[in-house]
Amino acid sequence: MKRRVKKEMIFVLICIFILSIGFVSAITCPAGTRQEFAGGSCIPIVGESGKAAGTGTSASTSSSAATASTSATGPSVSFPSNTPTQAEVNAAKAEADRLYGEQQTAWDRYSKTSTELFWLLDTESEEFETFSDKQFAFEDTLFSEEEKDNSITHQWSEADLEIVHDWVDCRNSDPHPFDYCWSIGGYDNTPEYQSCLEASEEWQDACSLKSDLANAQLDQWHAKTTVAALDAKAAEYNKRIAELQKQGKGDKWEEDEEPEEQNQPQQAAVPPFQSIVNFDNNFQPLDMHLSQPQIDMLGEIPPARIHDLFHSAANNAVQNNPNLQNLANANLQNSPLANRLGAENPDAASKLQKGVSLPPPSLGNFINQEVNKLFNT
Amino acid sequence: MDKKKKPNFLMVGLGSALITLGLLVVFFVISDSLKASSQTCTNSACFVSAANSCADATLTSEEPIGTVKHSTSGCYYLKTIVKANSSEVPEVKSLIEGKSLMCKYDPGNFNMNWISYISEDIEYCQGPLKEAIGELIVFSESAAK
Repeated sequence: MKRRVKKEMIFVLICIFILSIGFVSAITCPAGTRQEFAGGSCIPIVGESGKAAGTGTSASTSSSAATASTSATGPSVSFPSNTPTQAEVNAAKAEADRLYGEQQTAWDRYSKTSTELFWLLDTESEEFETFSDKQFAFEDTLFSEEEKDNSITHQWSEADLEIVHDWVDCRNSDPHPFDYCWSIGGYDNTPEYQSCLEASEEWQDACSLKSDLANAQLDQWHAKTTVAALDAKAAEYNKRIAELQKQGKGDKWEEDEEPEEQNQPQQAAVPPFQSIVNFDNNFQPLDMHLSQPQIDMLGEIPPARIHDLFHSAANNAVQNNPNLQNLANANLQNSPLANRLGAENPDAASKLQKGVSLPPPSLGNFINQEVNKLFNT
Repeated sequence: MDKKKKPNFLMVGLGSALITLGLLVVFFVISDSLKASSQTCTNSACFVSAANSCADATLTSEEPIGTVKHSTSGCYYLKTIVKANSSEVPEVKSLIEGKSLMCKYDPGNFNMNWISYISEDIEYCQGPLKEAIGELIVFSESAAK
């Protein structure tokens, strides 16, 4: 009898445990998120493609322009001897898109650690003084056409290289948009592809499939190498953060009690960016990527140039960020929020100021690129 | 000798369900009583007063851009766009709805601009809503014209 009661008790306890865990998990996490662990915080569920939310789809229009690597091994891209099927091409494109999503999240990880480290560094130290320059040099390398040219084209023939050099030149000369350059260069204009097309009209579909597959493979390689470079740099930063924390330089955000709110944003510290552009045209330090002489020079730029500068940076950002492309195509005249932001930031100077002080990875980066380009001309 | 009875699984199941329900009721009662210590404000003066003393308070306001929830606790401010305006364009709606930003401030030094404006003085804040605003600002000029 006692044994039976024991068994029943155990059964009841197991039922309670399972029901409680299931119920509490179900009610504590909002849609699209899951609990990291029992009693833990809710984290977003990453889709099967691995894309970050809203990162867009086209690797061929985005990642090709935005990625490169310092690796010297190069991609294993070549026209396959056998014609690929459409399914194989689609699979390669889907994989490229997935990797592009990973690249976006790798950028977020890198960006978070670099911000955290910047915040922890002693402002009087030499490390702090050189940190921004080094960081910008790294990011510049990631996006450098020269690096891309060196790293990915060594397997190609001389004739193919010449075509690609034209493409790189095109990319480096403003104001050609990326798609235009792609149309005059890249794989599709290589002699190998052209000879494929010219061999026979019947082969044209096969040539297109081969070209599509090669482009998708190249996109995959770009994304993979960029993720590796970003993660390596993030690991380096994390190591330094750990060292600084060991020395007792804790993050101010962690010292205080955190509010018990759902939808709580990330806790990473934010460096105290100051505006580089003031409404009365007095420029103040300090932007992460600009040196003091550059900031001083900004004060001499007339408002019309600031306007051009902002639009150039914004156009550049839009071309390389699927999120922004999505917004650019939206009917924002009817958006209450866009109108409110327009009223709060009525001119290009104020938007440039916000673009630098509210740096989502791409916009802040592109504005800095444009400003630096300005100083190099 | 007593005849051994088979365990009644229906009764056991019902019993366990009732016990679970009881536990959940206790859980919610405790949870509600904890939440009750946070002040629910109906105007910004009440909220700012609580914020300046680093107390816990919430203020939910209906604004032209939608339903915005302001929360404060321990000298941290949290703004959440609970629901976008029903006439908001889908691209913006999906960009901002449910997103938050968090800002830290010193006691007695709460920044009113965080309540009065969308983009003012959020340079020192952190969170997905800040990034969404940063993206939308690029296009706000054409929208305003």
